Amino acid sequence: MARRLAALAATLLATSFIIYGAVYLAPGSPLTAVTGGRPLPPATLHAISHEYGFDKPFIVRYWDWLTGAIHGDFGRSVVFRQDVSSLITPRIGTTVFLIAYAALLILLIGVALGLVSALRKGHLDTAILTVTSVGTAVPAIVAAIVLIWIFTLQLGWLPALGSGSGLAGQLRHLTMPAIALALAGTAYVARLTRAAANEELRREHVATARSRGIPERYVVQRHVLRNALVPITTAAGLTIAGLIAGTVVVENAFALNGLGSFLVQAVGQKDVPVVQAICLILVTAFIVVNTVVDLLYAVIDPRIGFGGGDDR
Amino acid sequence: MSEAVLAQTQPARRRTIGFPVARLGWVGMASAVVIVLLALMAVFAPLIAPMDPNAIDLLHPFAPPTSQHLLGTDDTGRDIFSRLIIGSRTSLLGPLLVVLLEVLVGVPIALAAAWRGGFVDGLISRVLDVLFAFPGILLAILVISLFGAGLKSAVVALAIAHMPYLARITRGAALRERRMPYVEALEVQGFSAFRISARHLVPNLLPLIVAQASVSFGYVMIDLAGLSYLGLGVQPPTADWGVMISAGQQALLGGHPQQSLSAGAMIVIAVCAFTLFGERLIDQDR
Repeated sequence: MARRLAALAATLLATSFIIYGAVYLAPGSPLTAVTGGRPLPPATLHAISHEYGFDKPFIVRYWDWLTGAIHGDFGRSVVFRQDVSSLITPRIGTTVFLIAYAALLILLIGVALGLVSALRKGHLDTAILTVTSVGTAVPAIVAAIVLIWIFTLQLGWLPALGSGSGLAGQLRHLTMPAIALALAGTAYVARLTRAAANEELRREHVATARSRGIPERYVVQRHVLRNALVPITTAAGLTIAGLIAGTVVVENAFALNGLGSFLVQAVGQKDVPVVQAICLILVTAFIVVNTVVDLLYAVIDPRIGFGGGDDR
Repeated sequence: MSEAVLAQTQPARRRTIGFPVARLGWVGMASAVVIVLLALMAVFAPLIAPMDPNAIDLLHPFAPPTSQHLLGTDDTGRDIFSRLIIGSRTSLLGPLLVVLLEVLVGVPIALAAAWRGGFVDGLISRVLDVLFAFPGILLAILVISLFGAGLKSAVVALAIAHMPYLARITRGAALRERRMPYVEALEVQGFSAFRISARHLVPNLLPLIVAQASVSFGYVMIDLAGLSYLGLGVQPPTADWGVMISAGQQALLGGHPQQSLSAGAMIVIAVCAFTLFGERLIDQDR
């Protein structure tokens, strides 16, 4: 457990260093990177230089930025002349809602489809296998376009753009984005669940349980699902972590006011402090989710210790 | 014993590259055929495209599909079908460059890690771990925010982001191969690590590398299309499938879905073909 957390801290430190230090790899001085090369009077340049601490050594600046970030202070936006945190905070909700919604869809529909596919051989299995094979290859943007075409333009059921307000409004506005974001992941988790369940169904303990006359429902619950849970958790965990990056594309496709669309906007405006802050938040979330999945194994399968020791 | 004789003692080369047809199954075969067709389409694009993909005809925007414009025209009257065909060039070239970079960097790194072990292996593995901590498209956005949008930045960034997967799998396979008796026999004979790697390890690992590269091609294509859609990858007016989805979205909301949907369909077909082909190769290599 302690080893995992130490590894987590080390990875976070290394990635934050890359995110902050990358600016200094860019052509031109870091000051140009911050101002985006806009012509500014020398006094302003001097003030900015002082504000961002360019008169201090790099490692000191990095440390100031990192300790500030831990306390929720990401510096000031170059474009908006406001604290980055005050710009980001109102946008986090949409992103978290979207990712949680998509994660729920992946877990419920993905696992259910996979189990049905494994337990009902024949046409249904073939159909699910075909659909999920193609489904993993559908990028979120393509899913977004097709969904908008069907549900907004053909059926007129759901709005194509905007985040909506209130829980009902958010649900209405975020349903299509969540489906677009979850589609490939759902198909992937379904395929893995099917494979894992099939693997267990071939095992002797399942045959033994069946021969003892244990009702099929319990056989599936206790013998198949319980044992297949480790590979399913791996697949679902990695997929859900992947949603954190996928949200950038999906938020733009549906004009949602979240972190991802703000990131792309900030890249366009060369607003480096905002880019660094959002990258740090998203990468941290990605690493933390991955670590939580790692730790979950030990809960699901008592044979796996918290220490790990293996190289994944 | 000469090197040639020794080479015969190594496990029979899995000739997946030479004679894959019989064992790929019909899905693998169909994928291979689609890949070949896509490649031909990209190479001969200017000959196949019926019209100039950049010829603007402001008098006929959003023309419906006709025999002249098979998929209609876009908002500036350009022929969508022709842009789709020409668009196969950047849409396939981007992922191809990324995968080539991945192999050129990832395979030597993996071989070095597997061969030297110890400190070198530890260092390489830690660096890969840190790169793994970045979701691909996010690393690409970070790089693009610093070096500017465009295909070049996107290709380099995605190569860095996707290389660890290839490197880690190649390292694992190389470690297994390294323990084979024939490698030790060659080492005892005094052949250099470079020669054994280049002449024996790489050829034996090639089916796996090709399979992984094919799967990676599919995922890179998804990321690259996403970046181009966001305006960070390939820039308009270059015909590119990711750009076309984005350019066609406004038209789609106005009831003219041809451009976005056809470009989206091409991406799904290509990604399907490359990932399924790669997966079938991996399956039969086991």
